Amino acid sequence: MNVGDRQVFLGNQEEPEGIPGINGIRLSGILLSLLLVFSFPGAGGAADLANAAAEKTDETAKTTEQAEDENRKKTQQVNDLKLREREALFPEQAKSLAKGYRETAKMIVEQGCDPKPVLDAAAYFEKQSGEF
Amino acid sequence: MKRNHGMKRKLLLAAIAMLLTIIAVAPVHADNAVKLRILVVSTGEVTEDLGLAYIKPVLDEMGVPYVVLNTRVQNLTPAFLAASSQGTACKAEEAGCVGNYNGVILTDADLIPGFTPAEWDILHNYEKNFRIREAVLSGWPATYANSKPPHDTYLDYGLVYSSSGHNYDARWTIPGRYSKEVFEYVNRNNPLPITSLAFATHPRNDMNRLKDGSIPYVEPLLRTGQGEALLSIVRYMKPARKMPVREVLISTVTNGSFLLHSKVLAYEFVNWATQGVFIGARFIHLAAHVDDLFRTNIQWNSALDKENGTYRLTGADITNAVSKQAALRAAHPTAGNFKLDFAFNGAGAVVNPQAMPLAANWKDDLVAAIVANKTHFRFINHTFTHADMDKSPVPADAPCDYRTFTNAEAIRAEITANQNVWALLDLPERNENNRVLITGAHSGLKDQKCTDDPALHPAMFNLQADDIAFDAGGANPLLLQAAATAGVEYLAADTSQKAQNVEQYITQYEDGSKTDRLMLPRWPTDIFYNVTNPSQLEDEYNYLYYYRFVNAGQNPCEAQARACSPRSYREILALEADTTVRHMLSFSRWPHFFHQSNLARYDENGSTLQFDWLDAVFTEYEGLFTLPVKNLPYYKIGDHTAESLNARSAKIDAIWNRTTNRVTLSANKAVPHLRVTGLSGGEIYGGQLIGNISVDTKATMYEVDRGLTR
Repeated sequence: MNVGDRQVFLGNQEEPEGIPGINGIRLSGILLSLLLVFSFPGAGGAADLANAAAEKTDETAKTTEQAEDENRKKTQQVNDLKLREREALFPEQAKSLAKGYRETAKMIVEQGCDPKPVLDAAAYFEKQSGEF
Repeated sequence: MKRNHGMKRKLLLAAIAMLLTIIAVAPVHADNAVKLRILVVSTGEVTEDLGLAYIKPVLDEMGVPYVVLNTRVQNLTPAFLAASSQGTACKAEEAGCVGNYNGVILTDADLIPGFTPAEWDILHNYEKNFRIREAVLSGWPATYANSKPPHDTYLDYGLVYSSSGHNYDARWTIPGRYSKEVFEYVNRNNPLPITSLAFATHPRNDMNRLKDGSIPYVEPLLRTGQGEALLSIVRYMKPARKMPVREVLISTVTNGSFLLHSKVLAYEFVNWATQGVFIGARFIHLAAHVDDLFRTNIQWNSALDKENGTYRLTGADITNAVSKQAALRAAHPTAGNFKLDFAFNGAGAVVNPQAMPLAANWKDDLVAAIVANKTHFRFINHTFTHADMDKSPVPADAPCDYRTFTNAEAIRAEITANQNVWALLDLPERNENNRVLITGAHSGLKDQKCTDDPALHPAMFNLQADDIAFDAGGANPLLLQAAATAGVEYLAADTSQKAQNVEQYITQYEDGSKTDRLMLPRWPTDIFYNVTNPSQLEDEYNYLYYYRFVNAGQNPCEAQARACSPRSYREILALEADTTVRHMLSFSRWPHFFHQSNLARYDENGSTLQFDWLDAVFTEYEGLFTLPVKNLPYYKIGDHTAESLNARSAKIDAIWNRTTNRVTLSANKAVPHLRVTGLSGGEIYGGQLIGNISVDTKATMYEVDRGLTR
């Protein structure tokens, strides 16, 4: 059975043999710098170019980090849901929680305040209790 | 929520506060003593209260004594919190008065409808009088005033609602002065994803007072990206006093035992409430057992969607594992001196398993490599041939997928022959490990009713459907008899099997011995026993959790693994890492088990499924926590489990005298290993001292050391 493109996760890869700094990522970095040098003649000199390259690298790293955070959160949510479904007591607990928030809403009204956030919370847990 | 009493009132209160500053006198605490025990105030039973269901297993696992007050059916009275020997309510300043609790945990912030304003007063008065802290697990950040004049405020967390959500990337903002006291164990550099409903708030930090004159001063510890507070310390200050009259840790995030962020937060609710001094302790554990060493495992064939071919580790795989293990330790500061545990079957390490005496097969490069590198690993008895230990069929000649033993002596020989191979290979820690056994495929702890091979039962979608579980009489008494006579104390179990996910003494089966074997559960993973590389794993995983359901006309999205589409190796590893970290954050000692195929080197970088998994787990863990991970040998896991069970079955009396700053400990029976957090002389872990104390009926005193300077 084919399962599409294989993505292999390689942990703790060792540096390939060869001239230090001329392999893999480092070589790409050098090539990128050279490309930038020749792409922007006379635009503020080497320091500016280095800054621009560094900013771009920072930006890329930030984007990668954000993507990783998002993936991590998605994974977490899959497991949250999977484990919640295994909690036989959860529907009853969610129902009790919703009921408790409805009581809290009454108290908030008595206090002269807006109960909307807790009524929303009550609706949220009512929905969760009914999902099973 | 609070009524606006106007500027005039504020000015008047400020003037009174200044006057009080001059005349204030600190209260006198005669004994100033509390029992080391937590009061958990709930809104219902575990079946109804999500918060109670969340914190109860945490307290149980840590061995912390606690009492639950269910506000739905019980009223809180002063005598419940502190009573004299005559049973009447007493105050801290009265001689001989000891508070019943050294910390309070509320499962809900406003405890509506069960808790009355009068009960809030009783609780707050106790907290103030005995200088006890409170932790709130979840709920609405209430500010409630009495409905009757003078409309004074009886509950106020000093927070104003800002927004709600269930998807926050929370940031740690722990003030410097709390850095040694709260959440010392978290990785504060990384965001903490919050995935359940939360009320985000802002600290009010105004001059509004509660009825006792205290003003809540809020310091957020965890905030949303917009700076809103999700978890805060509230200190109730009086102008006349430098120290707060009351202290509360409040979370407005919903917490449940199935939520990862809740697992990260759990310890601090206990630690905060008790001021870091409590019976019990927590450690983070991880152990990886590689089963079937010296055996050959059948392999998954991707083209056939079934098992075909075999793999047995080579000497090169072992030397590769040594380097990968060193690389793992170097890459992960929390991994310490992490070692793999090999559960081995000695029949594969001898020249002729049938010949007696047994002779080690030194020509086998796997055997040679293991012996040459034995100090890098640990070993566990997995029986000589990995024979099935299940009950024999009835009648004896009924068809059965596997061979069974008909007497305990033959089973015992499987155990002792492997002990002999241990000696032949001179593997380390033999004597300690003679007390431990992992049967092949955890057999003998349930009755498979002779259905084990899918190829022989094509009509059965789930071969385990007819199994008789451990607690239903499915275990084989012959195995338990053999284990007892062979001196085995600890027997491995599989947490995925019914009634095997509990550390327990096996008391329900007669094994002819005066003592009972202790069942030690192990976690399975989705790194299957019959795969050596990512594409194989990916293929089998998706067959088992996705295509098999699709082919049967079922929705895989609704099945146990919730695989709504096929998953890549990276996604499988991410799920595995997340699941494993949850196990670790439950403070359980249970190991995870794998198989020798998973240690095969699958590429030119020396990658293995086993170390990919470990690297993913430690990376995920270190994103959340900074605590060193304990990696214990299995026999020590057994010893510590036995110690915990003994401690939990004892009635511990512990009183903390805050004037002398000493704890007096005694028990109703001998407890040779009682873990206590916050006493001087213990092991330093996560910036706190954890003592391993021998307690008996005679009271002994210990100095308190909260570790705040470490």
